[in-house]
Amino acid sequence: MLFNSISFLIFLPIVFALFWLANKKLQLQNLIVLIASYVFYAWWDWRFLGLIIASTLVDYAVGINLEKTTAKSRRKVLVAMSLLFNLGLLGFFKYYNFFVESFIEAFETAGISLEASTLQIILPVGISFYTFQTLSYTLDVYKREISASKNLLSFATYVAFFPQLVAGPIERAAQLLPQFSLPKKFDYQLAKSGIYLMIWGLFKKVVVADNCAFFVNQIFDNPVQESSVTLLLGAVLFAFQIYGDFSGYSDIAIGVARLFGFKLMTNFSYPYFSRDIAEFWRRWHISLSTWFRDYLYIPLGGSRATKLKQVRNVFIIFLVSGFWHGANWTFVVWGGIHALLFLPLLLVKANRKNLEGNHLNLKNISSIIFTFLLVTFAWVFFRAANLGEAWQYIVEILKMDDLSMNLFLKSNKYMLFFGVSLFSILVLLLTEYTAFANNKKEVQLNKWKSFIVVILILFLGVFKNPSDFIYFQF
Amino acid sequence: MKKFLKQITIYGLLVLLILNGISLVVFYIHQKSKLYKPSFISNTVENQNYDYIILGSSMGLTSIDTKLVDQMNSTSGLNASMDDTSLGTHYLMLKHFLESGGSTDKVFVTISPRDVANKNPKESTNDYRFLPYIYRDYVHKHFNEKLGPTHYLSLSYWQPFVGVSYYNLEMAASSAQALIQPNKRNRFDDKGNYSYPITGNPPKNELDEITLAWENPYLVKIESLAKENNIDLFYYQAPIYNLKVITLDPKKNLINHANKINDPSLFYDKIHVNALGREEITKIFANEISLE
Repeated sequence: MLFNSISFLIFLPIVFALFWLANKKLQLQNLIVLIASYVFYAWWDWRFLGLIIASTLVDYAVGINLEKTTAKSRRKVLVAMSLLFNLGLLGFFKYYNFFVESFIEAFETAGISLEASTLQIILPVGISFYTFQTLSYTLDVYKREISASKNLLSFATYVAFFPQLVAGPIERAAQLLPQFSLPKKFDYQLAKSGIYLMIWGLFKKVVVADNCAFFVNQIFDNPVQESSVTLLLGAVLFAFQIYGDFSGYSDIAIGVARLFGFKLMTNFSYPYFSRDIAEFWRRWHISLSTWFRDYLYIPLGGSRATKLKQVRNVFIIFLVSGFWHGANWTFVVWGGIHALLFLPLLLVKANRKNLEGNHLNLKNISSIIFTFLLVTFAWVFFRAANLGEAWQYIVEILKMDDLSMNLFLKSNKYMLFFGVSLFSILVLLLTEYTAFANNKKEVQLNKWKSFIVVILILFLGVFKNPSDFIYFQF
Repeated sequence: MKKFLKQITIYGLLVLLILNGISLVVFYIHQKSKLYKPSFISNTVENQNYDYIILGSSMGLTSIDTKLVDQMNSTSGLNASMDDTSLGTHYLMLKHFLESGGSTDKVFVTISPRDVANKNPKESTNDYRFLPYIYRDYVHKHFNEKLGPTHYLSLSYWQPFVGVSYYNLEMAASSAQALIQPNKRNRFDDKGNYSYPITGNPPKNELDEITLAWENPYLVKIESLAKENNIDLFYYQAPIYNLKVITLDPKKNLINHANKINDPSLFYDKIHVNALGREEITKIFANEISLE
């Protein structure tokens, strides 16, 4: 079920009403959320509900046994079981074909012909998100940072919580799980802020992202036909498409959760106002980057190791992060580019330079634009169908031999889409800058601003041919 | 909770009020314009008696030049075809033409083999262009019957913003253009004709043939409507490159030009003639109908 669908518009008020009718009955409220979450997921494909349930049961059992057990070796076996199960699911559904194909290609390069068959595997929506969420639970219990959940209903609801089930934020058990054990009392201010955030998220998705997608899809589907300027604009529009799409989803997820009295973590914090790549990664997909930081980077020694190990750790974390996004070398290279951009900052200890200061002076503006261009360059690899196409795309931009913008001026419809895309990006940047400059954690609309945004959504949004959320495929 | 629900209800209603208000303004602007075919028809045909009108989709729109026919036959014709439509929309267009005060002696309904064989016609891409007339009974009834009461177009009867938002680019944005240029027409001349340019992708396909299966339920509706209004009804099969169209139903008055011209340079693509092809086929058409 998509957040920007009629079915969700009907689903949400029903769940909201049932949830609050069961006021003060904690277990009943959890049961309602759990059933709603399974319905929400089954709307896409009920067959994969089994995976979520299996993941829930395995980690619940592992968690309880981890807590009971003191023997180190047995604890290691238990945590290995959880890792094997969750990463096994991910590996099979997401990476099986990729590994088989890459293996065949590698042998073919060496002149050896291999015959191996790939499988017709459907990627279950959200598998990368909920497996990481359950993994974090097991690892935290293993490290004795949290207690194991003794309530299967609460735990199952934590794993399947519908607002963030399919595209995050990836919530830590320590933050979200206790919320399923606390009686819920309706919080007017929280619910109101949730509605505003949902409206803002919807704007980012259906106005910014989906209007940009109109051009991005055409440009990236056939880049050889386009001029250098069109390709450059295509990359910039994709930067805003993916931001609007993904952060829009996160905002709606956080907003919906607030209607039920739950607080989810901030997932995006004005990433395009970052002054360097390190700052960008503190602001982009925060729930994933902190996940990798806590469960991979720090255990590897983080930045407290020798220089050589620091370099290794940075590469590992960025390459794995790229690979997490999808089974394609383009994502790995995308991660590699970010590692290369991040490393110099780490080596000269400038990676935590821009922790404060939100004012736009000339130096900051030029740093922001430069960082944005670097990020956009990397996005080309993220979006392209394969590495060759991505490289060709970059080469054609750098040639700068054709400055025409014919695609954007092709017809009235195209000009209109282009105008709406630029206008919506401007609204996005101005609104976010206002919040950023005022040190607000998130964009805070008020009644009248949200009123205007709703009107913009309905008159400028793309409803006829809506795009799926990009991060569903991860 | 009470306060929250109260606020949601109040602001929700206020939003609906404003959105519907804007949508009604959008409808009004379109009704006063000539941008889309339904508005053009509504603002052009009142108290006009035509010798013939052409109905159809892009094939009807771009195959027959009524100005040339009228010049050759000293008649008065109108091309009421609208691109990206099907028989259901042609029926609605005929109804709209008559309800807008127009009359005609003959109607030529341009068909396509696939459309006449379609037993379950659904929405056509450009049906939304009738939205400004949703409060005319026949339009609302048509959308309800054809698309069901929960379709965006049908729902617009109760909440106009639904259709205007769904087709925001086509309806809301174009209303700004219609407001500035009320006489602007969207790719058709003052008699409703349009032609494809001489450039294009001339077809290369081999000769093929197809037999028409007259299954579309709107055929009967169009025939009844024509009969009720004493209009002589003819079906018209426009040129399709290297396709022979055969009909086994002698009751249908069919002017069959499917394989009438064979020079690929007269085609814009397989199913559309270009400006040169239009002139060629219009002359043949004019000569044939002058004998009817």
